Amino acid sequence: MDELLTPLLTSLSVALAATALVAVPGVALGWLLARRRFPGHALVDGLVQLPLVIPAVAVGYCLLWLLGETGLALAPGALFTRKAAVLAAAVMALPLVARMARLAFEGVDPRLERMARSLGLSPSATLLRVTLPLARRGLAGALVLGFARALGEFGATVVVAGLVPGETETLALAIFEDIQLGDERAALRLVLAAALLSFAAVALAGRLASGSQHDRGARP
Amino acid sequence: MSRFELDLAFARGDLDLTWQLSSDCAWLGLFGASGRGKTTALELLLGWLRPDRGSALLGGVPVGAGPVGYAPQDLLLLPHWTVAQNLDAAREAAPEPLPPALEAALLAALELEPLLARQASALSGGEGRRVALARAVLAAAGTGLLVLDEPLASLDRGRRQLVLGFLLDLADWRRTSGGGPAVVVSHSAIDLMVLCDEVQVLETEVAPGGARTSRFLAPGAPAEVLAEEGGYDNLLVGTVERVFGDAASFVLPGGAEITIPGRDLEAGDRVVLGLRGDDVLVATEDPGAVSARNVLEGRVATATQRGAYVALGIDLGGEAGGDARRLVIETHVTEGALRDLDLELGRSVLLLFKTRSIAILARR
Repeated sequence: MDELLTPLLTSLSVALAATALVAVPGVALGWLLARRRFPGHALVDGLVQLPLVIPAVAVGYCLLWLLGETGLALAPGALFTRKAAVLAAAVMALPLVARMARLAFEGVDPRLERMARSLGLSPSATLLRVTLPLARRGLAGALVLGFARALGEFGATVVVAGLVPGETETLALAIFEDIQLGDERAALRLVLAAALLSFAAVALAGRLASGSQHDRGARP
Repeated sequence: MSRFELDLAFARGDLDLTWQLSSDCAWLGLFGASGRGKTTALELLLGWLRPDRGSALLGGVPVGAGPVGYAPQDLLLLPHWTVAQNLDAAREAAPEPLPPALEAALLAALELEPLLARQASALSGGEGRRVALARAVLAAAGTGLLVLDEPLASLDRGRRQLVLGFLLDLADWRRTSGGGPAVVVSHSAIDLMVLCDEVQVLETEVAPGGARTSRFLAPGAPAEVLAEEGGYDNLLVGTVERVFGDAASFVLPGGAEITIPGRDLEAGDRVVLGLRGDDVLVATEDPGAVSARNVLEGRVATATQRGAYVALGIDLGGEAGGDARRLVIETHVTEGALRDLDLELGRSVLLLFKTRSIAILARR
């Protein structure tokens, strides 16, 4: 049973930690891209989207270079620990969270924010009392999707975190190991668990996204 | 003082808009057909849209920098707040509170009490419109600028009268208490005539490709605007003297009394009447018994050729030296009638029109 439970718990805890890590920067990036036009807007947009399109293994290589002795040696001790697994999952989840958060903010009529400002609300009060509450469902959906993405992370994690059972071996890594070892039954059990978990997360994100239609306000 | 100094130019898509105004008018009306850029103009005024060139100053400062109560056509109620919260935000934003009696009148005219606990996103379009109007009035209370985009559109008849009555009381209060100015957009000249001191017409040329070039004409008296745009050649503003059955008597500015349709009127009502030049007959001698209830004496003061007919301005007299109280009624006659009746300038004539020819355009 531990063969299923241990990687499942590792996966959940890595994905949760990664989601927590990207929540604020992801939402902030989404807001920035949706609401601010600044020099380098397109560049930031492109950089944020990059991990979505380049191979995860390449991202893993970049992280390895940033952290490890062979590169910048920012945190060589973190390699092949839970921290590295969390970081890899977070980096891979960030673009999705930022992208979905951007959509959530873009779904809030900027004229409502104008109106709030004209009623004397400060920019920060407008953000806290108007923009965030109106975007909340979309933002929650963004975090759930980020969590799902972190849960399925493999390519970057395997490079920087390896296959340390109970420490870095998530569901995805455990499936890979079982396939390598030829243990088809164990792999199948893990695949089913991973599918179930991911499906639940995506379904939840979908529910949150459709619920966000209700808050659009009275229209003439 | 709160003087408007506007010089704005804005072009987007197929709209090219210019707006110049220098006026210390307290209630300014903006008039024009729908879809010609009136709402765009308002948002340029407020600073919600950035003009390509120029600025909008009120009392020397940018309009958007001062307190504003704006009721836009798309309402923009904060949907996740209750109606009460939306109104409270406006009260907090206002330079000073609305006097309790006026606030009570506002809540009553707009029937807001039953809505206060509702979430704004759950309101119907009509309910939301009422709340948005109240929010603007509360936010602009005192010296704030009140900006209303079609405030009376889509209200049913009964409520329209209530809201119009309230807005007139509000205008009185704002004028007498040194309150801020108001800008009201409407495609209904009658509403503007009743509410505003000056009206600016948005004139639009539409090119064959659909490109619209809109500019505001110099501001003018609402009556002239309504006369031109509403198809009523004559506008009569005054007070109902007496009501008898289906008719009422109405005293013209020159002192003559006429009979008007009296249904729904009460003595003391201020009304705006419309009368088309085509509906006014001219006689050079007393025709004796006629079915028309209104027979007025006057002199031919002007004659203007207008295609198939001639527009005559008949001066009904008035107090000497009091030009403002002189009343000229326009009537339309054919060239043949002009010749046959020998209607030269200065000729004494009688004007005849039926009670039913008179339209009551607005009442208070």
